Amino acid sequence: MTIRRLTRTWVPTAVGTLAGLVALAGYLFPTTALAVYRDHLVEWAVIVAAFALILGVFNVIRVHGTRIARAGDGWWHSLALIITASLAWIPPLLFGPSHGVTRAALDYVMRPLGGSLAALLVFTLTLGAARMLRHRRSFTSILFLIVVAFALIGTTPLLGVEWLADIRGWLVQVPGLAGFRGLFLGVALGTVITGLRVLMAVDQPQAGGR
Amino acid sequence: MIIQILGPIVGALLGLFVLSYVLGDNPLYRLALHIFAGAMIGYAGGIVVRDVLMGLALTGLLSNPSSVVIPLVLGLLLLFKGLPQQAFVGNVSVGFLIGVGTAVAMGGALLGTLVPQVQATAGALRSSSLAAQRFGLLDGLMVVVGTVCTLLTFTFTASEPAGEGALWQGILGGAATVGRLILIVAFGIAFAGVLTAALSVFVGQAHVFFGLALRALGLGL
Amino acid sequence: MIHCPSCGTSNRKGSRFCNECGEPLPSTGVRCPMCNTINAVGNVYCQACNARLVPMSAPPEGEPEEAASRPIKGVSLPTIPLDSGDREREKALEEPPQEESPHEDAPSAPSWLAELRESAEDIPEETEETEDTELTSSEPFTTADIPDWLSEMGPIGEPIERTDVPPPEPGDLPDWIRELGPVREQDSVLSEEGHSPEGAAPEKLVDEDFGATEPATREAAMDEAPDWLRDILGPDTEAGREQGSEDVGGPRGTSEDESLIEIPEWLKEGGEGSPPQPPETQPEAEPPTEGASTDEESTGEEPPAETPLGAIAIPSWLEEAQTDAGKPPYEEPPPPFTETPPEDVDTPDWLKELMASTAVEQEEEDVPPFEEEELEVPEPGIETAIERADIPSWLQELRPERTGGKPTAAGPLETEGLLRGLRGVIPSADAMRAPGVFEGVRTHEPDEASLARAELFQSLLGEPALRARKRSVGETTRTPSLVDRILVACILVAAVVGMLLAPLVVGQGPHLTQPLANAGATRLYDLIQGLDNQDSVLVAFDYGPPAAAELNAAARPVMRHLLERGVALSIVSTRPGGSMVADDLMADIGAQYSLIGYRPGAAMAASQLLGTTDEPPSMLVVLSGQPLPLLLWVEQAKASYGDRLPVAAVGSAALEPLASPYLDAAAGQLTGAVFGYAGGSSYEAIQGATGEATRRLDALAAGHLAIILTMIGGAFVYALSGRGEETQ
Repeated sequence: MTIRRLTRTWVPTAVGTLAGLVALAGYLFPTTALAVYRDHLVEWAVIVAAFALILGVFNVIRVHGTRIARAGDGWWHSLALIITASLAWIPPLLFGPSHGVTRAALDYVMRPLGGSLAALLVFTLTLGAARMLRHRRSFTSILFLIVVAFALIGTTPLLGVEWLADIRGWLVQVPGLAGFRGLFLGVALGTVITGLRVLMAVDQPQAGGR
Repeated sequence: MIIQILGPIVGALLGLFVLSYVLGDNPLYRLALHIFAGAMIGYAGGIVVRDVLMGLALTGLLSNPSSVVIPLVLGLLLLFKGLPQQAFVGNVSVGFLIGVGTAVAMGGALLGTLVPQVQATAGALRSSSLAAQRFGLLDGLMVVVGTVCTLLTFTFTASEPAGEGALWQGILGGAATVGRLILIVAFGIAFAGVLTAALSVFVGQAHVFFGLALRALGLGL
Repeated sequence: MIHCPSCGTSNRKGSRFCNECGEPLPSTGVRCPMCNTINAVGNVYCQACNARLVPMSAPPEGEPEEAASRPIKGVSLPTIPLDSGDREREKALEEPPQEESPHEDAPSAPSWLAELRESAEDIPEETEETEDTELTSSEPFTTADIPDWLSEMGPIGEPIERTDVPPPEPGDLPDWIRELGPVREQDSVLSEEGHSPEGAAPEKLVDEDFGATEPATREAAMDEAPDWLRDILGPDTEAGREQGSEDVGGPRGTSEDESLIEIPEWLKEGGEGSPPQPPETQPEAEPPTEGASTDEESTGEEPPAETPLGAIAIPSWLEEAQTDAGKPPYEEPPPPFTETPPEDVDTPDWLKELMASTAVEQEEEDVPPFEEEELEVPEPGIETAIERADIPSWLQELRPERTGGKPTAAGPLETEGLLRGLRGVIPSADAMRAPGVFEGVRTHEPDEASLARAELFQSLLGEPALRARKRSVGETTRTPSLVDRILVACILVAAVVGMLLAPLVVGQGPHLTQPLANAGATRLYDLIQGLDNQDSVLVAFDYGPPAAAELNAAARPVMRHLLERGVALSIVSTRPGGSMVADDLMADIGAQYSLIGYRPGAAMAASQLLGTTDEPPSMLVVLSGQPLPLLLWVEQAKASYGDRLPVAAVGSAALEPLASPYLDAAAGQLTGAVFGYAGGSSYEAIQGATGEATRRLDALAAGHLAIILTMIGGAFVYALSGRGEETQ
């Protein structure tokens, strides 16, 4: 066990394990002082997460800046990104989200762009659904398309066929519920098991920079 | 005033740039994408400094410094992760984040999903629950069986050649098939929901765009 | 720095391959195999460790002329162009090993020997070069390589009858011989006539006036000269001259040479009767001192104590050597050291031992050492004119000691190369050994199956990357991808925009659908309706600008209802754009609220925001466009407060199926929920109002119809078009 390995691997692991166990204990024993420690630890983690977000912003700028410096493919796209990022942080930092400049950025830049990106999904998803039987013609594909059609028409049933909404409602509340409940149970089980492995130092995702 | 005229025009143009992807990938679409990413990144950086570092950390530093010294130090150490040679300095901060985040996720998964959802599955056959169902017990049974079969869909075991193991594997295989059908229905409903959401956004964007255009023409929408 | 010719990347000096693309870099120097130092291309020896960079090479078999004509220089390097890379350098370095043929004899004489033969008056400087050449040459030593002056000395141990060796011309004698003694009258007569076949004494070897010239300086020089030289330069007598004239053969000196010269005893052989014979070839101008010393060693005799002046008769052994000059000296090589030295010669003990051991070995082996070298040893008893050298004591101490007079077991006998016939030679290091001929990898014959697979692979590689799709039978329609996309886009735009613009054309506009009753919306309405101005509601705006178009329409009636109830609103967000959207919506409805702000960390942020107060809020309303934030809030609320905190959701239409497990009455984790335009219109309907959600419901329905028709149309087209293509 070298000092290098100790400081770079095992000390961070010990810190993470200790903090995690205290926080988890705060969840399991909410009426004790452990809950208070948990709250403090969570608040500290939120502050550290803020630095992580800042680090991510710097990393994005560095990546695109490198692309501009090397004049790689699409460097002018990266230039547009960096220029926009350099301008976009000023209004919320200095004026807050309520300021007119911030709202203008929201109304005339972010909302049109974001809305158009989300709206683009309808074209691609519709095309995919129309081509589904072209690529795979099976019972499951046909069943899938039938369910989609009933769910769509049941969301906004035409006048006179409101009973289609009941079919949709049944589909959502019985098989849909069962399916997603099973999925969420599986996800929760996986989360617990993975969390135990991390807290017991079996997995060490923080042991980087060796 | 100028911004109220130019702003919608710029917004409409940017929206059209994005929608041009229908015709295929093109430089205008990529430019609009990068502008959107830059705007979101910049805004995120500014708002996190304002709300967290200045709102939470600075306030805590002024009122009770001991409560925020440790996270500030950990946060500054985390910034070393951006330097390849000194990245190891941020390992402690990453470890702390991972530890607390894991505990929070575990607590939520355990107490917020596992326990209540298992209880709900077991309570699906209660009379109060059956009353809310259209087909009563049938629906209740279908909910319980469907949930179990969905869980069994993700079972991976070695095949038994013959005997009791083969019978049990046959039963499990049948349950997995039922679970697969349940999942197909669930994913079909989810797909329809995503389609509806995207269509709703498209309707909203179209409403805004054509409303602007009609207003410009003197017509109302 | 070295720039890669392929990609232009700068690499460190000395790099052989590019760090970026892996291509070999042009060679800028020669790497020392011992210390890996980069040397200039022209270096022969390494500048750091002095190791040889250029291997020594021998001329190939069958090309003796080329080897003879090729100048053997100390700095002959393979010329490798700088831009040819490592391959040519390796190729050039491989050439010398190919040229090396240690098992072959190179009969051609080295150039230094030819040079020595050509001129008897070469300057001493050339000797060094020729010596170096001799040392560096890896050519095997052949009979033709024996210098004439050495060959003229005759075989070792046998009396040489010099019958056909012409006497040397006076002008052919080397200077050092000329200077040794005066010219006799007889020689001078001979010099006038030319050379005499009788073997007149070379005039150079006799100097009548030797004693007359500068006696004073001569005496001083005599005092300093060694004994053997003093004997040579002793009193000049007629007998000595006559003897010298008989013994010493070879070319006569010129009449102009008046220096006295005494023929040493070792030059005379066969007594006084044998006339000197003119040599067939000119003797070497300067027999190397090592030759002389070697000759002395090989003879194993001590030079005679006195040499009579004027005795310039060519010894018989010298005459015989002249006659044998044309013969390959290796034909009848006498074994060296086989003759016992004369009794009167004070042979050193080590020399005796060496001679004895060599004699023993010569009996045992077929190739005695030095058999091919014409190092002749005069027969014992023959008087030589050279006295034993006075070896100083310090030199005697350095003499090699041999155990039992026999050479130590120093290794095998060398049978090739310059050191042929020697023992105890330092074995060549493996590094110096020339690499063997590369025979190449012997490939095995592939079987038919492997050949077939290889051919198939080859054919697959030769095919174009994209295969043309096979058209199935009966398939009639085939539209490109772009047409499909444009068609779908036109259908959707027509449906949605048509419904939006229909009120302008038709007036009220058609209604395709109407708001429906929604259980979740009803429960939410009831929950909010139960609040009053004493309650606080935590609202989490967890969606950004992309989902704002849909969620604002769904959230607006809920927010308005909360505003109407007078509750204290606290707005938080776990997404960066949430506070921006929240402010925009709340400003639109004119609500009073407190903005807590954005918290990063997803679940940690939700937990932190829920734990800010000891008492939980009256209600938690989560506005989310994605399923994950909603689920995290639900989990954290349940984990932190259990059933004490009612949670409601306002979300996108995509969230409804995913939220159903939590919205289930049995679970009770979501009290109420509004999803998309349909939920918003339902909530508005409950409130008795018509809002944005209701107004857009018809366009939504039209869009749904368009999508369904597109899906059905596509299914029928591809279903009726025949056998579908497999997914690639």
